[in-house]
Amino acid sequence: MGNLIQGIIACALSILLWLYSGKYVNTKYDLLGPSFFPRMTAVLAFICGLMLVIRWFRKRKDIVDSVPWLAYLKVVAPVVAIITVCLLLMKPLGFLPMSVIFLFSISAFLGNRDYKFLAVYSVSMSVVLYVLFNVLLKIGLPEGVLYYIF
Amino acid sequence: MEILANIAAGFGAVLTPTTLALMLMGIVAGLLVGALPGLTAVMAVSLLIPITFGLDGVTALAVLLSVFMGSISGGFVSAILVNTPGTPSSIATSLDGYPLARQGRAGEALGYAFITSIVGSLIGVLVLILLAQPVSAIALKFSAPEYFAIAIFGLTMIISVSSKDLTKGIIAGLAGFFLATIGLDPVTGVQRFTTGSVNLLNGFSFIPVLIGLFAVSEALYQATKVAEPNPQIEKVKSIIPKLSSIIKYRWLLLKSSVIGAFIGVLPGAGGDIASIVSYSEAKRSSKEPEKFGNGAIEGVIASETANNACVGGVLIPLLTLGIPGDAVSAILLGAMRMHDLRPGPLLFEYNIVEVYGMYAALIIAIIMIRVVGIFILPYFAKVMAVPKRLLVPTILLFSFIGAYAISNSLFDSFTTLGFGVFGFVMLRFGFPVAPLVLALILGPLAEDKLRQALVMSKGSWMIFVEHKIALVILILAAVSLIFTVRRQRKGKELVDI
Repeated sequence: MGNLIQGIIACALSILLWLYSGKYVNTKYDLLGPSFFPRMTAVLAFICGLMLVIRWFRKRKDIVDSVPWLAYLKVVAPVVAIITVCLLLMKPLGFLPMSVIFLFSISAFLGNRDYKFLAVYSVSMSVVLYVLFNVLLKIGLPEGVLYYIF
Repeated sequence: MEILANIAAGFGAVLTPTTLALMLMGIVAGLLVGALPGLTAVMAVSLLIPITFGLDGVTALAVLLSVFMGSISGGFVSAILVNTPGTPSSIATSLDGYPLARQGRAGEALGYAFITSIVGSLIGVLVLILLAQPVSAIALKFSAPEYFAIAIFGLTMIISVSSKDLTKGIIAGLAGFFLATIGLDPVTGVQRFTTGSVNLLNGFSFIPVLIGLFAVSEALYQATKVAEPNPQIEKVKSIIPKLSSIIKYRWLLLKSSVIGAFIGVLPGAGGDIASIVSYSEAKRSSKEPEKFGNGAIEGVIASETANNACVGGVLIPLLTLGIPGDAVSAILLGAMRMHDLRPGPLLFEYNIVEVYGMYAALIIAIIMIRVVGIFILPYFAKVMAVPKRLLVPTILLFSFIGAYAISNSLFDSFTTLGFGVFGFVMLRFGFPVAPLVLALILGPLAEDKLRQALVMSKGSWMIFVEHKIALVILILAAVSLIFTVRRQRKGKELVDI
């Protein structure tokens, strides 16, 4: 089913791209205009999408058919969720607390059960990165709650 | 005399304690990243770009080149010890390196790989120094039609060589093309696909996209593999071969270096292609081809020499034309722009000190790798024992902070996350990432130069026939694509290994 789904998605997106690009009007000074490249991309993508669909009808095996999607989802989705939450917390909490939470929670989720070592590692690595970026490279990282404490 | 003065100025710019110390750290980091399966040279260089923000142009590029060279050099370690190349450039090394390790000759294989990689690097840099300036002199005569043709040639080469599935390679390239159109139109200033967002007026920031596609996507994939145990490796003592043993293989070294350097010049072809082509040629011309695949030291030599020589070749189109030869040079292009260096023929007019500084940095890096590698080579086994449960979150954190650091913008961090997930899904679906990245760079060049050319010719497409160089390059691009289609239809691999 892999090629079929990919092909249909490619064709559908290319139709959307073609239609959306139509609103970019050419000027008389520019032969091609701002819509040319997006529309050319849409046409080529549509052709490639059709080729994938034809490939499925010819019953050629695709790499996608053997990919363990559910197993991947069980790992990747929570990791992405943790990253998203941590990024949203970076400015209010500050870089240091956020990065400790980031390292600890992702590593624990991935199966690290030595929590004491993990806590020490998370704090020390966060401090190292803070010193590297904020102090040595003078790139301002958010201070968050630390601003009020110190 | 001018060349000598430039060389002196280049070395003078690099031979400062700060630069040397940073290069040393870059080399150690590169060697370690190169040795670790799953971490690539591309990931290492893209992660370290934000660290170079506060540095001057020459130092920044010296550090990034050190990381690049270190990771290419280090890739052979896990290829030989555990049959898993540390970087794609060492693919062919494992074919004979691992059988040698199983025969108890791991030290010998590591020693030969180490020394021959240095020889390859030196020859590659020599080719770069000799060819770059003459090529840039030719490139000064290029105008819009020629640049358009080169961009198209680069795109077709990328697609041809970077994907076993041509259709998916083209789709990946087209995705990059589309992403490149987001932002202000270069000619009319119309906002395209910005959805009203101020953050997208200049399109997606290049470095966060790179970090996402190469570092985050791979880290997410490694996260799904944490349950797999790390390979158990005994501490190996490398045996550095005698000079007489190296001289015995001098013709193989020279041939592999030339193959590597010239493959590096081709846009879209990198160390992995160089390694495979050189290995195939060594096997074809060997008196004992049946030994290849079963522990022929010539296989290790051919592969490692070529993939290291490729580093010099890859920089030629980057410096002279502003066209990246592979994914790492695409990152270097981003780094150069960040430091107000514009790769292209004018680089040799206005920034000659920086150019010679890069040459000096490459030569110094090669010497440093020789010295550092001897000391840390026996300890690589311990590096490979670092658990993924610690490594993956650390790489992810580094990625997002690096992306944030570019313009202190959370939008960049979320861009990295988005492209990280996108890259992960692409790779699992069998779509290569390299064509997308290179189309992201070459797409705007192609569009801008095409539209300029048509303005120059008042709308006549014959300009691409009247400009002979452009015509020849476009024909080469078409031929390259046709060969690829024919090769795929016959079901033939790039090289018969």
